[in-house]
Amino acid sequence: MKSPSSPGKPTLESLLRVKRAERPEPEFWQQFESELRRRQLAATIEPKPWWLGFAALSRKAAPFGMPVGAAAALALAAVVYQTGNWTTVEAPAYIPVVASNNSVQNVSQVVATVADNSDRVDVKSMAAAPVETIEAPVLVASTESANPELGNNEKISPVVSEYIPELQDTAFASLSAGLQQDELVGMDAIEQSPSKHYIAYNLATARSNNPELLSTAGMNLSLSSTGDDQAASSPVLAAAPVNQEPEKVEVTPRNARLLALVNATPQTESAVVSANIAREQAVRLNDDVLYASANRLGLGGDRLSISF
Amino acid sequence: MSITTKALDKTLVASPERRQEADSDMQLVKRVQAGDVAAFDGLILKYRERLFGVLYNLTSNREDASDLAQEAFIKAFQSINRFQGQSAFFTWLYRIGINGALTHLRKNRLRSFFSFEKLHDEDHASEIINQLTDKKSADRSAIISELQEKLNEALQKLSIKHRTVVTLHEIDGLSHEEIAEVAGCSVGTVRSRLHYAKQLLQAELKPYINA
Repeated sequence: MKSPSSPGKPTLESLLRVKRAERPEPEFWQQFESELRRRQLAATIEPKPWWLGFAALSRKAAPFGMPVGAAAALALAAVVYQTGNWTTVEAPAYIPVVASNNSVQNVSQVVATVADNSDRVDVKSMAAAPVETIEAPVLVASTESANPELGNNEKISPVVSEYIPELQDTAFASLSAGLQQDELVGMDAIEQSPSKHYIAYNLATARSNNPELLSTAGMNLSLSSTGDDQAASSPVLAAAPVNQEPEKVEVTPRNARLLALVNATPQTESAVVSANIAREQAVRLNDDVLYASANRLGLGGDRLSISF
Repeated sequence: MSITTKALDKTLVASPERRQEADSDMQLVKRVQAGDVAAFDGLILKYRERLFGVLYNLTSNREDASDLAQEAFIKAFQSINRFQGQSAFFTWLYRIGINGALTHLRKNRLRSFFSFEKLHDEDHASEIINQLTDKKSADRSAIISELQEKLNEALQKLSIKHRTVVTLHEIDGLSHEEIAEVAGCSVGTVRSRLHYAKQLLQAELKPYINA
């Protein structure tokens, strides 16, 4: 071969054109043709796969892919938007209670309304309806609108009657009992809140299971009786007004222990859990541990070693 | 002028011979589409060497190139009814073959086995080889083999896209517009790839070329 500095060297294009001279022998083309015939015949008689129809269909539908995709995206967005409106949580209706020791009015309508979980009950119209009159224990409760200075315990008291099974009848009986037109003014202003319902339900459950505990805990809900002799025989749920002295409940040693347990247990558990998590994080982030973990991997030559 | 003719003119503007070739190909294609299966043999005979050459330079393996060329002809025959004549038949056939080659090369990226065809001592090749060797050199055949090996190595170092452009332009002699039609890219992209590929090849084949 000539030296690299020779002036007679070809150009790159000329050198690449040498590749055109690389051609197979004529015998190769005979073999090529026979193989091609065989494969062509095999491809003709070979059954087409079932998905080939879908592939052809997708090829035909390819030009419409963009507008159809955009329309599908718009439809999906519309559905999601509408679904978001549908899933708006409606607070369950409850019946504001202002009760006195008067006659019960329209009890059946109130019960039906609560069962249907419909909107707020129009108490004014119920009060005007003809009713049967019974003498029953009444639920004495204060409402937010009636006394805006009420505390939290008093605010949730109106909804308690919905969730106390054993008091349902009497509560609803007392619900509309003797509702006077002037007492019902401002009832619509009572705030509806699901959390209040749940709190009231839990409170009522606890109240029914262990009345003494709640009394010990300082809840102003207590079993009391009205001044009436007939009503005094039946318990009613009463919420004490703010300016009224909370009822003195005897604190027995058992109640004190239970109350201490209720107040102390969640805090203790959460504190222990928090301490455990902090300790685990501290251990994981420890520099020594990280260094030891990194040192477990060793790379030497073409070997990767892991020490345990 | 119809849309088909305009599309053909776009790619074949540089060579009237290609235009005549495309017209004769289209007549054969129409006969095949009409049911004359034997007319496809004319297309096979006309393009088998060129298609094989392109695929051989892409794969550097004669068996792979043979398989890919046969597959390309079979696919073209099966899809001949979809050919509308918006491009020349040979660009359509090249596109089928090169797409198959790209798929094959991507699948067998880690397997590289070269098998060379014999270099026929034609005028151009002889002239180039004479430039590189002494005419009466005893090891002429060894030098030819070495040159073949170096050329194939240099081509295989290119990416598939750059190799395709170099093969179609420098070896098969297609124009930039025709390569753009075959490769499915713009003419500017073809020129850019060709320029970059030539730079790499010049670096690889520096001892054999006049830089």
